[in-house]
Amino acid sequence: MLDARVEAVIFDRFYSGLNHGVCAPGANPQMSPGLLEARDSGFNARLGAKLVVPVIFNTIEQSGISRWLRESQSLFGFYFILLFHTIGMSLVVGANAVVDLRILGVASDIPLQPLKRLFAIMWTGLGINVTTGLLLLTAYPTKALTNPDFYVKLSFIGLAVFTMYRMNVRVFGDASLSEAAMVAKGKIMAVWSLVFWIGAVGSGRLLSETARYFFYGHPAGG
Amino acid sequence: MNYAHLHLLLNHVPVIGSIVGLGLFLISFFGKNEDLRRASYIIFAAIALLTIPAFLSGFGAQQMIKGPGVSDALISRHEGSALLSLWFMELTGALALIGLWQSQTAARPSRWNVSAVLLFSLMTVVLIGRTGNTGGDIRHPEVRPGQEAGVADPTITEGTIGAFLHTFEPDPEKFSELVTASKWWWTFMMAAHFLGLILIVGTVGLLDIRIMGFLKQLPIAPLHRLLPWGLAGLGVNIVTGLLAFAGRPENYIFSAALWLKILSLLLLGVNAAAFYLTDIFGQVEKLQAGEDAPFAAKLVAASGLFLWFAVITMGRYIQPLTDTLLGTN
Repeated sequence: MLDARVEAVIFDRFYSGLNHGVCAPGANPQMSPGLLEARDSGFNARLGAKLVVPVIFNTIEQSGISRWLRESQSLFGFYFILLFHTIGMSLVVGANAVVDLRILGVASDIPLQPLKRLFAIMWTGLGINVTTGLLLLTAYPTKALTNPDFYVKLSFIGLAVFTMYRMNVRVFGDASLSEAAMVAKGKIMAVWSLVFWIGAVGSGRLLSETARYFFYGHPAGG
Repeated sequence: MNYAHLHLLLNHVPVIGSIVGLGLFLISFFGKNEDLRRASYIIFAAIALLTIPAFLSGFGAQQMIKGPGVSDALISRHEGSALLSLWFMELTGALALIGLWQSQTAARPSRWNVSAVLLFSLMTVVLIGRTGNTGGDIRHPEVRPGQEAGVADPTITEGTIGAFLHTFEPDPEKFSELVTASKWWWTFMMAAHFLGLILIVGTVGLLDIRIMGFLKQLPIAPLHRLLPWGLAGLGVNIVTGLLAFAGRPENYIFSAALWLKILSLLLLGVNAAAFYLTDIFGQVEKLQAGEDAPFAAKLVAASGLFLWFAVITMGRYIQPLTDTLLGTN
């Protein structure tokens, strides 16, 4: 016996399975064409009219790789890439956060200089995420690139990676620095690094809630 | 095996376990026996972990037995009771872990910790007992007070204590709605769940790879002092994970990945026991920069790291596997 809640979700699943959960809760795919049109025109009005989605997004979406990433039922398709995006995140942010916390005085008896080797883990994690991120972007170019929050996320990542690079070079790049000098140099960078990474993770999780389009020509919400 | 079976198997563990834990704790409290206190804390932490699958399996059991002859009101009362006792159980487990952490460096855990464990474990035993009782009422008319056997939709009569506790119990449907009502709150929970994951991987993962033999320039004892940050991450993730489940149980309960994730978490409990309750921790903690860990320690560290990545993997696959267990009942 299933109750109505479960049946509703199975129905939701059927629809959201086509767009990997980006379907807003309660969105009804069975709207009549007239209703859809009314919703979309209201939506475009809210966007401020003349915003045109570049046709190249559609070209990418119709390419073989994009369609495979989106539509393949294989467990090694879309969700596999999403998994590695998460693992890459845990490597780059996890390792960077530990270095930040140590500079800010947590577990201050950990020798600082050897933590330099954690930067190799961070750059590896970043490499995984640039690769998987580009694949995710290939799967959903319209959804990502029409979402203002996507640019917020990219900005946070850019700032966080810039901070990471500066810390790598200026705090850990000079072997002659004493621990006290490293801490003094790195303190402000460590705070900003944590802020930027929290911003990146937060705005990343917000993407599915702020999408304006699912695909080219298919506005979200309404 | 089905959900009802699994729920019956697991749901006695929190009831009996919390009573055993409280019993040992009270003896240690009055007898001033530190070893016994440690034992009771370990039991509280283990039961808090095992309470999670007991709670999760309840929704599956509900889906199975719903229908004619079973009272929705009784199920709802039980679910509300479980939604209250769950948090007290988890909090008791967290306080016990804090006490165990403190007893590493001090001769005994702090006064506030002992008082808090006493208070919350007592409340947990009462609330979990009520959850067990209200659960039993669903399918055992013979134990319902003042009820004739076989009444399909009984009026619920509460005793004095039951009526008092009931005023604190959330209505399950409203609780679900509350958790899912705002997309901003939902996003906040999911972001917190990711930040918790990052803290766990950063701290526990770093300790694991050092024990495995990487980054040997780092002495182990100071790295181990990062662990409270990882445990804080775990705490955040248990709270946000359970809230997300309570908000949309039907999204999770039929996913094979959810159960593999929970299984991996339980195995991580075994992994932690193999690390701390054997002589491995003592051997490893002394290691200075450049020193190599014994093979058994490396094995425990590598399996711990593997299990954390299994947790992440299964977490990510909950959604595509969301209905894999549908119809297997």
